[in-house]
Amino acid sequence: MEASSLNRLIEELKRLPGIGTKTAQRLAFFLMKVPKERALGLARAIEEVKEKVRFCRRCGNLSENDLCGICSDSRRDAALICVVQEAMDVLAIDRMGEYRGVFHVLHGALSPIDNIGPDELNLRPLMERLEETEVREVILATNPTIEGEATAMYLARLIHAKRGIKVSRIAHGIPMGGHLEYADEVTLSKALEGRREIQ
Amino acid sequence: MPLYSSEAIVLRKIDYRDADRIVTFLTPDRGKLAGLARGARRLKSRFGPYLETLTHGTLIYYDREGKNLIHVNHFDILHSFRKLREDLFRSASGQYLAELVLGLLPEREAAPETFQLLLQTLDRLQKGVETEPILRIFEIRLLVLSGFAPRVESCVRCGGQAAPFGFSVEQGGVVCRDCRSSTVAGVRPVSRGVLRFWEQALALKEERFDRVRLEGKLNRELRDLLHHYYRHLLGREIRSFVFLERLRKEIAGLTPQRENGTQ
Repeated sequence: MEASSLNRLIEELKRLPGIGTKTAQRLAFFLMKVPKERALGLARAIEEVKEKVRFCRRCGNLSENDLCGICSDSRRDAALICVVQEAMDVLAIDRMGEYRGVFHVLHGALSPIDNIGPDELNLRPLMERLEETEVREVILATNPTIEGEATAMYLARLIHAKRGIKVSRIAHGIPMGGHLEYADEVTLSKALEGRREIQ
Repeated sequence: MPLYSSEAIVLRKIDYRDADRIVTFLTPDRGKLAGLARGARRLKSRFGPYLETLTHGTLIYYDREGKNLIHVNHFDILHSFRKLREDLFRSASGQYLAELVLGLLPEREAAPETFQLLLQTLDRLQKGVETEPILRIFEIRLLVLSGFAPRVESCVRCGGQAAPFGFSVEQGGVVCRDCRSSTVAGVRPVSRGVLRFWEQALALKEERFDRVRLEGKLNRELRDLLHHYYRHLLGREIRSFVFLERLRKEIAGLTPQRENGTQ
């Protein structure tokens, strides 16, 4: 009986990304050894997240309320929208602390071959936001993959067609601390193309 | 574990686990091959941005006996088709070609002619030549190379030549005027112009591809017919075709210029 509940825990842990059998076993034995309250704390945290966290009505970011913390923050520049593929990208951009605009999460990128077309993305709420609020600029921060680029081009055409909002694309190029000799030719050509004048 | 090297075009990539990718390649000597590229999604991955759909490169891989997936060891770029990726319509067209190849070709069967056809078609799409005739020629030639070509020279039922012809996907080719009445439902009308273009697409020398013109109405008829046939062969909708159609109508609009295949 005891062994079967342990096996069940191992099987559940194995379903998590990046967790194989060995790691699942290690985690399960760790959870068995820690005080009961600590282990139950983890279970309660998972339960709470599943019950409370949902998508922000406006931007599609993860939130516990109708509007996420960023959308409800009046100090944010609501006229500047950064469009990203996933909610995790919001965390990455917001972590740097320099961006003071708001976000819009698409929950994916165009990939017709994988059955992800415009209707599968969180696009309509974005177009409604552009109609309803005064937006100065939309920054397209989708990934520099063929799907991300296609999504950015598709969005740019949609936004340009509707109204005169500035549409920009995040720069691509050499990462900070990187060396040119190790850069691949695609990244290098993008970096040269996106060069800017030094004053 | 033997190590192999081959030219390859990336047809599709699927995220796998935390940082890996399962990539499907088209190679000349072993056809369609799916492989695991460990760590391919990491920012500092040794594969860099190379394992992107429609990239042409040199693939170095291990192939273990009894395993479905090859192990991608290295991929060096030969052509990134960057300009193709920077145009939404051409990029979507490239992905449409990849979806057709993925759907029609079996795994691990040599396909040197299909490889050349895809490579040359991607190159033409990138160069900015008229898109529509290039797509139609590809669709027709891929059917022949994959062994699914319908019979268009004469009636599939009696071998006759009595016009006007119809096209039956169930019968696998054209049906003459006399046989149309006795053939089960689902026969589409097909014009002489479409059949002429079909012949031309197969007979044409590759260096003359860029000069081919396809009038708007004829292109629409041929596009619909081929779409109908491919959908029948694959047993499902061709998703990137639907996206291309949407792009044509929703963003670009059905301008006469676009219908002639001009970007």
